[in-house]
Amino acid sequence: MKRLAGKTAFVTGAASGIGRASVRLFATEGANVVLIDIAEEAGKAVEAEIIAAGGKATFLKTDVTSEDGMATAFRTGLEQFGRIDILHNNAGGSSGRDGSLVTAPIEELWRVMRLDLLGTILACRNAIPAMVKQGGGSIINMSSVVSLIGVPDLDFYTAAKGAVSALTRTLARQHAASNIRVNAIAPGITMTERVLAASGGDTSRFPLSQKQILGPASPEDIAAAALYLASDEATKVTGVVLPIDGGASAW
Amino acid sequence: MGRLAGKVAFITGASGGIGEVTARHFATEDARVVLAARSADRGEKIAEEIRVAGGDALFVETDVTEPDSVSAAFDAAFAHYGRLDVLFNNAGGSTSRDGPLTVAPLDEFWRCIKLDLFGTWLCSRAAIPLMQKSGGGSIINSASIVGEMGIPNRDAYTAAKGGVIALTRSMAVEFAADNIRVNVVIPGAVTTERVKAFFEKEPHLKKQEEAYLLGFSDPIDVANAALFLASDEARRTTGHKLPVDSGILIS
Repeated sequence: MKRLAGKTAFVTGAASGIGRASVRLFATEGANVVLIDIAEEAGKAVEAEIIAAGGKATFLKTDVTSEDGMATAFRTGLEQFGRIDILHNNAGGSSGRDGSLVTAPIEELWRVMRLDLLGTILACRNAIPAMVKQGGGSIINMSSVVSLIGVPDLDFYTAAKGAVSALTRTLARQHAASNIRVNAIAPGITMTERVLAASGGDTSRFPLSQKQILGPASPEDIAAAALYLASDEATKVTGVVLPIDGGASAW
Repeated sequence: MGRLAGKVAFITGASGGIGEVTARHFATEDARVVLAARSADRGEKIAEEIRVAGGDALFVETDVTEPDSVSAAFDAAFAHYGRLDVLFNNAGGSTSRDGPLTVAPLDEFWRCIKLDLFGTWLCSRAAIPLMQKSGGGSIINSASIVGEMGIPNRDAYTAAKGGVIALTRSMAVEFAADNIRVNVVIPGAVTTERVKAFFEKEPHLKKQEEAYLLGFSDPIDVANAALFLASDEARRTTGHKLPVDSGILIS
């Protein structure tokens, strides 16, 4: 029996990186997947790949920071599959424009607040009423190791991810009575296309890399944790921020 | 192919409760399982049932608090299977003899420290050289929510479990270079037979269940967390705590 048989999963930022690894894995484990991303060509390619492999997938071109866009995407996805058992709030990420709050451009603060925090809030806002109605669900937010230990030069990203971790706990508390579980993953350095491009394949110059004693993770490692939290195996796990950081925050 | 195919898993306290359920669960995921416990009758019976169901299991009579018994058990396991990949340090538990440190009997302190903390230390000490020979491994320790939040009347048990959590981190850092991961599950109240009997004896504790946002956990919930940490799905996770606590720690 597949680990997500009969479930429908909405994944934001599904066209690349961790999101793509998650929708591939979730579909392999029997879930219908709704792919939300702003990148149309890449998103459609992932959708086509999953369908070709015998899975059920739909790509919805959406800006996760748009209130109307997200309402439309969730309405469309729900019309198509009839339910939402899993929401993986994966869209987000830091950029080279972040840095010390003394010098980094303030637009970068609003960019990550909109993408990482508002995007998560808008997805939850649309998903939770549907989960309440159908009797439960599992939300997996994407936090970061920067919410657990101090990592220099990512001040705005840190603020946004700290908020995501805090929100994870309060949502878990508030919606447990509706059988909705809310957890977060805190990845360290993960070799997505973006990180590969930014590092040229060598992450050793990142301050975090010496702390990551098991080395960088792959997108598939993060997807595996999301799968565990999404599945009924984690039926009593809620409000947890699970680090997948190669041990970086353990010391 | 099961999620633990090719692996040998050593499980302490395997003659009942969480340990028994985990041993059976790991076996269905194609691990070869070593059941370690003091109770030979029950342990042999469970191992035989696993074999009859098509699994591969070995029972070794073990007292995790006795150095000679522990080394003999690991020697026997390694001689039989030729490798060691997973250790689940599950043996342990509190009793109603524990209480405020001003009144609890002195020997209850040493019982908890010996069983929960020293037993974990001793079994890890025996397992790690065998994991080094096997090219790496995953150790899953068992703590408790008492190690993370103040709960009265469990002072000796709290001290022991707090020690287990701290030990998890230092071991993770020490042995990462050997590709040995060390994590800890943090259960809340789990409805093992022992705990059910305890609540029947002290019905006023039943109201504690209300604090658990998703109700008490079942042994299988903890076994599923241990499975995730034991498997290669968690290959970039070390030094971390995975609560299976129905949200009590964030409430």
